[in-house]
Amino acid sequence: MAQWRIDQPQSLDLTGVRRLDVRVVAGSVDVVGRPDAADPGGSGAGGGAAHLEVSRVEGPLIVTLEGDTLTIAHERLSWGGLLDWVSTNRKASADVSISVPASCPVELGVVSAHAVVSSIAAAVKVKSVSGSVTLDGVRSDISAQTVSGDLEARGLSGSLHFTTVSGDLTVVDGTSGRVRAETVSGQVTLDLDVPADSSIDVSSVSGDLTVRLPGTAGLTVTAKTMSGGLDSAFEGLTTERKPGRISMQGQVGSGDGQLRAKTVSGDVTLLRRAGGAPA
Amino acid sequence: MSPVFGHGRLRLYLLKLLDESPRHGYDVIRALEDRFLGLYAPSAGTVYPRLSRLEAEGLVTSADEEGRKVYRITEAGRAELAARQDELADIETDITGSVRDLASEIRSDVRGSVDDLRAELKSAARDVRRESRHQARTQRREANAPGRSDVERLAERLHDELREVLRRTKPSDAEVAALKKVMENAMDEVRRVLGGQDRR
Repeated sequence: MAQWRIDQPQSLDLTGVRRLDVRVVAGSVDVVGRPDAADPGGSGAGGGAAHLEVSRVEGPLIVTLEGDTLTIAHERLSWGGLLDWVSTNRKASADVSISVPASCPVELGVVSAHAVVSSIAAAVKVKSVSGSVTLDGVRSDISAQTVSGDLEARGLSGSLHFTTVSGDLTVVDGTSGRVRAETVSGQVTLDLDVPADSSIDVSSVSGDLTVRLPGTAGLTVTAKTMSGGLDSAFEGLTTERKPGRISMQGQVGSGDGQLRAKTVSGDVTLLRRAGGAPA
Repeated sequence: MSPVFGHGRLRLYLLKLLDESPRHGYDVIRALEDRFLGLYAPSAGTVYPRLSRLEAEGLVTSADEEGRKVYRITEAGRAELAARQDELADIETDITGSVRDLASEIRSDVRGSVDDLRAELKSAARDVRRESRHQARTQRREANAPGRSDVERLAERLHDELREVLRRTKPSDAEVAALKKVMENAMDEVRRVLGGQDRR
């Protein structure tokens, strides 16, 4: 095991990194995946090159390379401790940029730090309290939890599971067939190109749920709200109104996939994109 | 990307890479790509002549290993590297600056796409909502008073046609008086049908 304590701007070059685990309180975290072709030695010895740059740090960061896992964390910040940190008043902030091979799974925990994860082809797990999370070109499964942090994702192609209290979720140019999002007051906006047999499941208490799909989509739709509105640009859905409950059901295209949208007081809007692919 | 390697900086960076470990030429190119996230791929034609020059200056040596030329840094090379530590630190800052710049570019780019999408979908949602509210209203009206919308449509048509005709042809005073009479009669008839109630 190798360990470094970083309390001033510094960079590190490492090899043999196959997993990345970052926990930063405030500031920013950038994780950029390198095309695997640029990983000398690939999965063999000498591969797994990682470059870490800490350009600003307040409160020391502990960098540990144990086995093939690179951990970068503010001292005393554990996965379970993200929320505890909010109530304490310790100063801990850093700007951290890391490049790793695209095949490296990434786990990220931040309190208020903003996070960018780009070009990763392995599982990405993010927990954030209030920091916003930006994902670009993540080609594998994503699981994200925030309290108030927004999640913005572009060009994702794996599955996405997002849970939040008040953060907004926006997916641009998604080609994922598996999306699950649960929010209390956050808004969910999805622009998806759904493959066959997709499963889209979104729910909120008061947040609006908006999903845009290609005209060629094949989905069985179930949408429910208690006091919000239900609208669809797709024909063939029937709306049923009962006191305290409106529901909309039916088939779009082949109907082989599933789209479920459920909200208490939010609006559900199903939009149709001209053409087949995302604009 | 080019300013990072201006003024002999690539030469210095090659020394640094060879200080980390002996490498063959292809490995050096890969390592450079690696540091630049695959965004900067120096060609063999850029790297090999510089390696040869470093060798001529005695800063590196080369040996054939398994058919490939492997370069190693010499003591003179290490001394050169040590003497130019500050410059090297600058290069490294610039390189990482490029990782950070890339990430911040990605962030603002995604943010822009997200804002565009949300605005676009918001207006599309408004259109869909307006359309379905309109439909619902028509349906509700129809349910409350079947046939009512037909009557309204006829009245609208009459109004439209009348206006069109009056605009196109210049009716004489007598004609205008006759039309007035027709309209008044029609309105009287409507009132009679509705049980003499004046609903104005």
